[in-house]
Amino acid sequence: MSFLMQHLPILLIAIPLLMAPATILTKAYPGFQKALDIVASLVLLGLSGLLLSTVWDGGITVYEVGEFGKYGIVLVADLLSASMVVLSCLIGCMGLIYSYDYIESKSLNLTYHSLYNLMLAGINGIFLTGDIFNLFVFFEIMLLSSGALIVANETSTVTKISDKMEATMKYIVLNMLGSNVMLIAVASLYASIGSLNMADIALKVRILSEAGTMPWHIYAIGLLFIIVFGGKAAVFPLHYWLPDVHPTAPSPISAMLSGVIIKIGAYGILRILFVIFAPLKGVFGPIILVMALITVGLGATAAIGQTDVKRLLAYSSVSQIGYVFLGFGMGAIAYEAGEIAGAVLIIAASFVYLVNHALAKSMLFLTSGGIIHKAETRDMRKMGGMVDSSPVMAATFLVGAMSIGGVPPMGGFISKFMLFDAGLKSQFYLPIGIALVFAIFTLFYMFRGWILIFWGARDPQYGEYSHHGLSLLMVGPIVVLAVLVFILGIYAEPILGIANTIALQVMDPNPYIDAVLTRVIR
Amino acid sequence: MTTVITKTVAKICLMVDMLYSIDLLLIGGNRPGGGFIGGVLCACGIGLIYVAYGYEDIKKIWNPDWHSWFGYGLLFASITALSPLLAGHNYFRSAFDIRPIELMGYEVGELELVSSMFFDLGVYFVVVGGLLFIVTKVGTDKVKDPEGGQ
Repeated sequence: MSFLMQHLPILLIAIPLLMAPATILTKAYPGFQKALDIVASLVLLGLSGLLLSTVWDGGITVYEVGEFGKYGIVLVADLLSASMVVLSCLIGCMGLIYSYDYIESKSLNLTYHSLYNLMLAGINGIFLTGDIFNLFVFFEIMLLSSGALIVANETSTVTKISDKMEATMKYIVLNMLGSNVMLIAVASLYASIGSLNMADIALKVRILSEAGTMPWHIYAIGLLFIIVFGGKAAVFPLHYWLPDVHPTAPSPISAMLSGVIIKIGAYGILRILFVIFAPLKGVFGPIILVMALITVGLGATAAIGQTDVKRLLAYSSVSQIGYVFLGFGMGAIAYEAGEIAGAVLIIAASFVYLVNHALAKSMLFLTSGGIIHKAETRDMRKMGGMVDSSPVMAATFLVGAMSIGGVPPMGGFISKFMLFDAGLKSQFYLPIGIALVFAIFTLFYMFRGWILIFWGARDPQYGEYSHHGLSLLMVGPIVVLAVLVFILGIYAEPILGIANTIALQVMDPNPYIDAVLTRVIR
Repeated sequence: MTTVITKTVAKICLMVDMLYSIDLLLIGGNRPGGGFIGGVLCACGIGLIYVAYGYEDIKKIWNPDWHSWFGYGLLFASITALSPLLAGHNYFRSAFDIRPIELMGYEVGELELVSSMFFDLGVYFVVVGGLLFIVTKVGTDKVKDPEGGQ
């Protein structure tokens, strides 16, 4: 047990990295390969839960990779990292179980498993690393493997292969540009601060700020990081790739992209701008706020006109990530104005929003996979009356739509209520007003989608629905996620407690810096 | 492309290329070089042979499954990185030793032994396997109907 506890953070990256080759080498035995991957994925979920409970009880855990010494490569698991890792392992595990019946078996055997594991390793690495260059490396691992997963074939495909190629091209090229900008930002940061360790950078930036000798390029570097993470999260000027990429990917990968990967941008903003550039967050707050408001409006308005079920969900993701960023912007401004308690409340609300959206949206994407399976088209106008033949999907889609729309008793209601309440307490009347208007838009487009798919009757000219409905392996993950969405709505105490502690840690980076820099070197 | 000159030069290049790639792999511990660069060089050499002689002809003589080279390399690197855990150290910790080389009682030099060498070897195979898997897949791809599903 002590061995496990000692190496806990690295195991979350090392196990998927070990599973990636193991699933390549067992490609001749598909049954064994599937069993191996599912066991590894469940172990990973268990370990992530253990990490969260360790961090919750024992404070920030630091792990030194390679024992290079004080400023070497470290993994830092604070409460934010640990809970994001739990989220990624949970959705990853559910997506994997769902894939077994959804992805075509040749695709699944050859590359799908290994790429999926590499993607999980990259995502967990991004959340856990305490070294800014390693953050870039894990970004690349995640980007390349998820880019290749977008072209995986489904068993009954409705997307043309040329569309998939186009989407992958967009995803890889635009995110490579983002990575380039990130490399420039990391290099400039190293040139001006002289360190790559996040805690060390945070300490030095604070000293520079207290001495009043902050070089001007630190501001430019901060802006570059906003571009990088804004691009990942698809915030307003950089959102254009998402509505093409997320619908084209196979549904489990869409669930990962919308559920976890766009949240990496939100995590990056919290980690880089709030922890590392803590003294400067007042400068960047208004920029994030304006970008977020435009994103909220743009995503919601575009989603209203969509006829493609997955495109609707993708635009909804754009709009919802805007709400998360709205919270970050308001939090930074409130902190700068001296309302620490208000800022903590707002950041906690954003985190709850992020978790609820991740669960609900990944569940909706998995459900949409089942809908496409049945209707053999993505066009909602060619559907209708599906409630008779698949009541489970109707129920889970309704749960998801209610959660995204913010209807009680789902998790989405708690998060929207908390965010708006916290914003109003800190007197952000105009931004909250705008956000409220678009919350009504959200309610409209989610229920419009639900009514188009499940109510009425299907036009006879499009034929009958296919008989192969959801298999048990596909229903299981959807139901688990739907139940979680529901539980987070009626029993939100634990997540509110975690979110509050996370917000306190984010607002005061000192414990993070102390944990990394004043530890005993092995 | 496949003239006699190309073929002859490709053969000569392959030998020099392989030797230099192994050299880069071995010195990688403390000097510039390592598994990645060595692997890229090796893949370039084999790629050149594929271009000069044609993939179909080479396939008859030697047709390894590059995908599993990638798998074995990644497995090897991953296990090397995990093995310090068994010795009570952290992930990726490298053991390091310098042994003098003696020749007839005289010390003629010293040999650096680092366990991260095995990791480099794994990376070497990952790079060779990965690059050549992509090259052969792209090289043998049939031209498909741009509008068709398959």
